[in-house]
Amino acid sequence: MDAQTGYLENVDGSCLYSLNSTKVISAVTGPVEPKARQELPTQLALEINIRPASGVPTTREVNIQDKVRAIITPILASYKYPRQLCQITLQLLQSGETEPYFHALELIACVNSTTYALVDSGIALKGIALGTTVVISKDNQLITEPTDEILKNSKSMHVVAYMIENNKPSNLLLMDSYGDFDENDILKILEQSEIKVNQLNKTFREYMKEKINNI
Amino acid sequence: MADIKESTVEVHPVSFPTDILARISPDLSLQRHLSLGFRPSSRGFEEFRDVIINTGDLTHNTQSDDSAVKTPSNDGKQVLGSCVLKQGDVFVITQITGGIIEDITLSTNDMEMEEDTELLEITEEHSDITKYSSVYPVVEINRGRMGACTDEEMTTSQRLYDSLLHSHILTQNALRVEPGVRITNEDDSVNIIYPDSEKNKEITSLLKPKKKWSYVLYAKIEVFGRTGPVYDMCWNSLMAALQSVKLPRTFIDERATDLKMTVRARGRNAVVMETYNLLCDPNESTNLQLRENCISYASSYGAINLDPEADIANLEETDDVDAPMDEELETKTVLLADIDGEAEETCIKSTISITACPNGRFKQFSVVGGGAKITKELLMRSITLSKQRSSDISLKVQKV
Amino acid sequence: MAKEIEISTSESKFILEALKQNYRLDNRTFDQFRDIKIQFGEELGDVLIEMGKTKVHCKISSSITEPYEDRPFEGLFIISTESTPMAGPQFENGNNTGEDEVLISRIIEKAVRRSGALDIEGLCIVAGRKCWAIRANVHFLDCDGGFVDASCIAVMAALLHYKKPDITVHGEKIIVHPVEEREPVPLGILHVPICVTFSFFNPLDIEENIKGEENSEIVIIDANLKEELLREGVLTVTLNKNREVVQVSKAGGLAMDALTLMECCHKAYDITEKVTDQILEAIKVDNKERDKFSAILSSENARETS
Repeated sequence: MDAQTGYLENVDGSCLYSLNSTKVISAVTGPVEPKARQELPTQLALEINIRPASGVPTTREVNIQDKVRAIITPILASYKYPRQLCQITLQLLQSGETEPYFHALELIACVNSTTYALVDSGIALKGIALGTTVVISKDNQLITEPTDEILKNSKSMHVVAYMIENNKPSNLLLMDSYGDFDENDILKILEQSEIKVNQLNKTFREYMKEKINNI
Repeated sequence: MADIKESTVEVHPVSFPTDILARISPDLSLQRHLSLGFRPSSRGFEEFRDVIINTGDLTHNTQSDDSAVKTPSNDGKQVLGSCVLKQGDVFVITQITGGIIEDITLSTNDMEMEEDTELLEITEEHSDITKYSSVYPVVEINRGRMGACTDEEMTTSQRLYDSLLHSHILTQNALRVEPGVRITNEDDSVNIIYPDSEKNKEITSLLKPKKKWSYVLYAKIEVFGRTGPVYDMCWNSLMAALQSVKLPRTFIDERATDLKMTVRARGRNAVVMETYNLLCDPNESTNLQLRENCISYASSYGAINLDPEADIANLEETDDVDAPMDEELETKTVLLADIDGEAEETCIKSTISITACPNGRFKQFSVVGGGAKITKELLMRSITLSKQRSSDISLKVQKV
Repeated sequence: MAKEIEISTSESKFILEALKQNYRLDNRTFDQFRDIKIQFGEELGDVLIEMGKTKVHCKISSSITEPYEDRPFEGLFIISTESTPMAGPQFENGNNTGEDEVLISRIIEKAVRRSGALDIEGLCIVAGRKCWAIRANVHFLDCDGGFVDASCIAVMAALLHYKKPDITVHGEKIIVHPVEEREPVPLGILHVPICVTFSFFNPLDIEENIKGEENSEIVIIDANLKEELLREGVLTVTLNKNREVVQVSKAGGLAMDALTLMECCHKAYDITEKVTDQILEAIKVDNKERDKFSAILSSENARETS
């Protein structure tokens, strides 16, 4: 995993994020003045746009957008910015997975990258959102942060994102699973991903600490 | 100035009829209902809406006049399988249509079938997911007005596609076209031979085309009278419709098995093998082979924190504004099955959607936890309910 | 949204005054092109170009498709340029119909596609039936002027870097060999066009520009964002290393002395030569890096691959 915030000049917050072979740039602009139809009278409106590495955006990207929105909306202190807009643009540079079949790796890269960029932008947050991908392989092994090859040969795949408040995972923000599994698998995966998210949180804190110390 | 001082202002409590309150303050209305132990739709917390499923009704079997022999590409409207699902006040109509495409490139799976050992050697490595296929769903939620498709329609379509692909219900082999050959006999009678029996296999393999085709299935899912989230209804409707799909058999004419055409461009000639004229049999069809143990049905749940302030029963006792705050901390989270209605949809931020097989395995599972905290207990309860629901629907589909 | 960038009067006066006195804010000379940084990604045909603060990413993708009916012997080549608010607030989401954005994509299109930089006949697999479709996806990441120049470099570097999977044609069947199996094949690049953009400023009044004898217009190469906002005329010259002019584009603006054009072309040639060499050198280095392992492998199994 590698993150680099403040990568872009013309936006309020940005982050170049890469995990295995997936690489994404996130850009956060906001709070800014929204278009009339986006404006919410009491809250911060959120606009998310995901651009694929190659080709034009399709329903696949709309679907990822929808999930990123489901994860990011609860972490924003949205009542602090009524009638304002937060614009998040995500540009995939490298998908890292076979595109028509999967979207798990891209989704997680987008979420984690957006969290870094949101902190970089200085927008008020209630917590941060971090997530991971877990797959269950054919021989019932749990593998976190899989590669494309592991994904292809997995029995089931799961995307899990937690909200982190007061330095520990508090709320399950998203779990999205496909494949073949039962309830014990679900519990195991939630447990495993919570451990992983804790690690991610540690990395995140260290990165931010270092960044602040270097100012 | 003096007038204002003297006139007394009396504050009358404003009361609204139930339906108006539901519109202006859906949150309060929902909480009041829940505190009484039932939902705005007067269903219980874990009560599902009734489902009525009809499959195959909209399927047009081709008329058997001679001119009806068409390629599916000319007749894309031909419905191969269908389902009409009614859940509460919502109608979901699914029509499955198909087309035939030529497999341009050879995948590794094809190579296994051919005895080309030299090439097989280097294409040994193949992955699992490429063996499975999906249908291309288009969800249309009718709202009585035209316009570009909404994000909800796009995400629902994409989720259906992904879930179907990863549920491994459809293999690529099930969609492979096994064309027969139409033979004109000496007495001018025409009959079509399909590679079903061993004897026929010999004949067809002699005239076997060098190309490969696959069926492609499209699902048009129309939702009428949307009252709440539609994904689970669309999935169930699609699943039922898929089970009624009959694929038309196809054949090629023996005279057309080796057609060549010349393409001329800028004065240069190139011989091009032209497409075989693949025709659909108006009479014969085969059932689409689904992997039975992967058939699954979806249900949705929501989790909401009960607001103690909205509890009418206790309202009189805790009328005191300065009531101790401790009571408020005791928020109770309840699980509601089958989210429906505007109030429930807008107020419930935490949702669970489960696609389960009647045998207890899951095919798709998604939790969105924007609102109430989703605890392990809630998850387990929804899992139990989803299995029951899945068995219920499965019985209904089988009955049809 | 799509806010126009506003530049204060005092700042604009300062920049113009500085230009009159032969100074640029970033301490470059008038004829100096910004240093280019070329970074290749993990995949083939994935290039990130940095020119000062301007960042452009280009990714090549390919697929097999049917050729156009009237051009059965040619493959498809598409360049898609899309800008998002990521590059700056002046760009809008999903709206690439702004004058500047259309102009940028047209110039790149003309410079690369219409100049035949890519051998599209070489993309034909089975005449009239199957061909390669090559798509260059240009992503504008960060804008500090010079998008045309940077994009052109990005597209060319990516095309040179890309290799499409090897195929075998068996009559009507095509077998696409995965990259791990057979060495992929580079694209046929016929020449490397490079765009150089000149910006014009008029230190005197309009009358002097049109009727005057002096021809004292200020010409600078590779303007940054602020200079772009203030410039009165723009000229893009596309050349290749063979000293051929591929494209000259001057869409209105300040009238310029005809002889300046020749002068500009000469200046542009020096830059073209330098940039082309830099791209080729970068690709050579990257290829060497990638071939490191295959060199070890081939020593074990000395097989001629052609």
